[in-house]
Amino acid sequence: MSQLVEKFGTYVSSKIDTNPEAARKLLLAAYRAKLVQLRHFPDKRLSRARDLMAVESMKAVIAPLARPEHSALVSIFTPCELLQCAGIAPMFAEAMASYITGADAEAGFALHAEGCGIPETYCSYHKILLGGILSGVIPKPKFVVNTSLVCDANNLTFRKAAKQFQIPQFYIDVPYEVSEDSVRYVAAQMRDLKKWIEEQTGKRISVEKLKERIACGKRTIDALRICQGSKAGKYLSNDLTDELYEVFGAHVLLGNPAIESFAEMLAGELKQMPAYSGVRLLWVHTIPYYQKVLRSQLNFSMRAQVVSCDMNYCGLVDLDPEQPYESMARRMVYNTFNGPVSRRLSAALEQCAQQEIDGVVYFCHWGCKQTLAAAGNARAVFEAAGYPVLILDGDGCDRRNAGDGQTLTRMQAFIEMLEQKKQGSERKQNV
Amino acid sequence: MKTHCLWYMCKYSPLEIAAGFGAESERLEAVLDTFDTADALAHPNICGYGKALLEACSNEAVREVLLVNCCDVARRIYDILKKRGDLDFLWILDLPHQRTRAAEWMFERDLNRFLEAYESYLGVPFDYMRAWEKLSRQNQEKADIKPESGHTYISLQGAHGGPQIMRMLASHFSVPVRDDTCSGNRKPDGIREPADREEFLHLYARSLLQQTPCMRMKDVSERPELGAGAAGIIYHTMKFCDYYGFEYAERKDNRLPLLKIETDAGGQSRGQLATRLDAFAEQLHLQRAGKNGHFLRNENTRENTARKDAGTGPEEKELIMDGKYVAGIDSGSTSTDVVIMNRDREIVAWSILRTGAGAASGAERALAKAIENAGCTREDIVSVIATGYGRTAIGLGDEAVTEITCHAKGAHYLRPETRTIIDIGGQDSKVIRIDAEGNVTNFTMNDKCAAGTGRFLEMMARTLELSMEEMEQLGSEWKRDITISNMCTVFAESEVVSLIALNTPAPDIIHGLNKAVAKKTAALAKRLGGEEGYMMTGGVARNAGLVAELEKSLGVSIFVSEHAQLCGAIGAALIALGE
Repeated sequence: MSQLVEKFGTYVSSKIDTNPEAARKLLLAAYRAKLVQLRHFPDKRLSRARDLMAVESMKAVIAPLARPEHSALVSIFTPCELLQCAGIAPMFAEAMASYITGADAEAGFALHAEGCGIPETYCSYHKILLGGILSGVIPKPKFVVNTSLVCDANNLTFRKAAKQFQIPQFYIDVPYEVSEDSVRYVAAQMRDLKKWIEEQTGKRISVEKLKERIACGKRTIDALRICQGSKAGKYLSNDLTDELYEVFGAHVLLGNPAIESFAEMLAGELKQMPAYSGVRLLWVHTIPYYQKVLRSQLNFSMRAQVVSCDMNYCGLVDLDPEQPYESMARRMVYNTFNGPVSRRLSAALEQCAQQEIDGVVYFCHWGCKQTLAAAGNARAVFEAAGYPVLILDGDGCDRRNAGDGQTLTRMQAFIEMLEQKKQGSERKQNV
Repeated sequence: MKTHCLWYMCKYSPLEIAAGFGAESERLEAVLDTFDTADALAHPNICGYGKALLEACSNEAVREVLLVNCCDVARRIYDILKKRGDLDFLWILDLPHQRTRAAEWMFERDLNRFLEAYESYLGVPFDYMRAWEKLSRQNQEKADIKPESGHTYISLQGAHGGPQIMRMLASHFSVPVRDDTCSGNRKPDGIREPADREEFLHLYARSLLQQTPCMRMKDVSERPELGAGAAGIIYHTMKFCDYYGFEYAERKDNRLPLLKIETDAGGQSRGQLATRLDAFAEQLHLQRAGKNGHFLRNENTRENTARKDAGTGPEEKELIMDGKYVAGIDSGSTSTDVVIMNRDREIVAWSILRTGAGAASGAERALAKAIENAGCTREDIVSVIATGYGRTAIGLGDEAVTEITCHAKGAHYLRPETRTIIDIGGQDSKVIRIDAEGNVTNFTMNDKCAAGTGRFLEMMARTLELSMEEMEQLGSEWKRDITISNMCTVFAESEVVSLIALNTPAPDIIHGLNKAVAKKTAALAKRLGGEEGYMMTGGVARNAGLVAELEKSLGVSIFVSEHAQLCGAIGAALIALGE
């Protein structure tokens, strides 16, 4: 199967420069086939909730490719409830790039972007998305909505995309300072966004409908909080891709009733899961789900599992449906990735305590400067709290920046180290 | 009272507020050959300026630091310094991305927070009139500096350059260099006399925000106006600084001549940088005479001294016309190539020898060999031009010209239809665009990393235990199309080792390597906007498998001359003939 995917990816890559339309059709056909498989022949090792999330993620990638004129290019932390009310599907870098990587075609897109002058050291998610946009494989959406949260790439990719497509862009400036003044500043921009979307689409957005979406998001967040709190000591029967899908659900797709169903279903399933005695890991930052050497160690493993990813925890903020604009603003301002890194690390420590984590994998995704530059602080903070840390260099979506041999050795050694530590503390307890 | 100094990094920093407390302000700078401290505190894959800032903040003189949340790395430097906790005062200013009224209000509010924190730290009251006077005085000074009529300059743009780059530029160009980088063009406008502290902050916030925006601001439409009236733009990028790599990509079609330089804010790669600056100065005819300048004369060479003594210098042309010869020497990192030419522009003889351990001795040997091949004597050579990496070090030659200009001349000589030259050398790869007369119109080079250069292929040949000749030959015998995904020399080597362990036939691996180098080089050519009429020069042009992959990646045919490796030396010889 993997050889077939590799051949498919090579073929798609060969079409990027010469026939982008054909490359898009090929990708879309493959994604539609995958959706059929996910709906009718899901992975039996996964729970129903996880199956549902896989389907919703796939649908989220297909929608903007199939009907680009009804889609908007957004950044991962853009609240999309207003777009949902206007019937606009979000298109976002993390999903587009991850699925292109899933089709083993990312190198062609990244190289195309580099050929157009996009720096090699740029975040690979954004680079692959831009490769798709600049080559013409990714079709022109109706407009762009993005926030400054949480990295420099958001200030560049979306401006470039809007210029390339010659489409309007709405920019949400999120202050670094986490305060109610910042919430008011952003909420005013969200009110402007509502009017702007109405102008762009010619459709009025009902405030009542918006409140319903916020209420749906609130229920989803409540359920996701229960999920986070139910993971301690449980075997999760999961794979690395699950946590990535959940990132899409916890941010861009929040407010969608299907995501609420997923969260509630997952909360119920987690209560039923059996006990787990293997190594329990917290994954900080994006996940290179495609990397075989990691999948072999961590997917459905009785030896070591990824209990949670901090990207699924950072946006769990209190929402008030009666204050829809402030709620959307609060999700951005109070996101634990905003402000000093101590906020993000404190939130990760909360997860560690809540989920009985044995060790932390701090993933230095290629080109993510804010994560890379915080690696030293992260190590110090986790170790001071008694959690061993693996600083793992790699790439969430571009195989070219991932060294399999080194990754495998590091991950295996880390698991061995944590196993020894667990055995030591168990022995102490028995004595 | 102790004099306080507020150290800063960004042009949006409110230095006038520091002045309102009687404090001085200094920009944080550090030029180091290693970044050990920064690598340990953060991560190797962050920009050099960020690392330099961390090193600078380790200096004992730096006690009070004001950062701005202008980029991901700046935010994290604040986090690292905060955690380290050894500064007396540390603050990060929350700079909005927009310039709306609401953004101004947010910025004013944040300036006030900083002001109060600094006031509390210093224990002295803020004098808003003193701050206003400082701002007004600076604006008066700006207004007093009137450019002389017809006076031009070089505009340094892009990522932070710092004093070392400014000094280096000043030594290469005959006109002044203006610092228009992200940290350089700090020009807040003057404001009316404020009635009180609140009004000062209100007007001042606006003045700071209204400066020519840096790339992290939302609206950057004013930025192309930077450098108006300049003779050329030197665009500085830094690895792992995305903002300015992006802008450079959009500046390719700039109306003004543009040179990209990439540094890591350290003192490394001065040689490569000097080559680019020399070539750009040659292109603009703004070369500074003397040391480090264009057409650097090796005044102390034995030949020059003898010629001066004999008074033969002005008679060179005449000697050439009398049927004597000229020579071009291309001193590269791998080989030294020499061409001897007669007055009719005919190649009389040449030599190609490995440079070996010393560039000077390699050049002596190669020149001697070429003279032997030509059947003439050293005295018959009336003019010598040196080019290549060793051009200023070999002590031979009357003048030194960059290989960019020489390759352009050489390629035009070998095939006048050439418009785009691809040269993969031992140490770097270049793409040069030339006009119908063989003049350079634009060029680009790889960064200092060895990926995609001849050195990369040499290292891979060593890993495969093959000679370069064997590698070139075997590359065309591949059966299975494999992809080497890592272009980093170190990672690629481990990937090749893994393939060897899997019994992958050498021709398939070589083909994968050729493909990887070709794609990287094609990306470089596309970035420059390569035009039909491609020619490949340099030793790597012998590698037919690589050339074929390059043709495939670019979708064009590439001409390879039988004298491909001699192109630089031919160009040097033509310049020696006065062309």
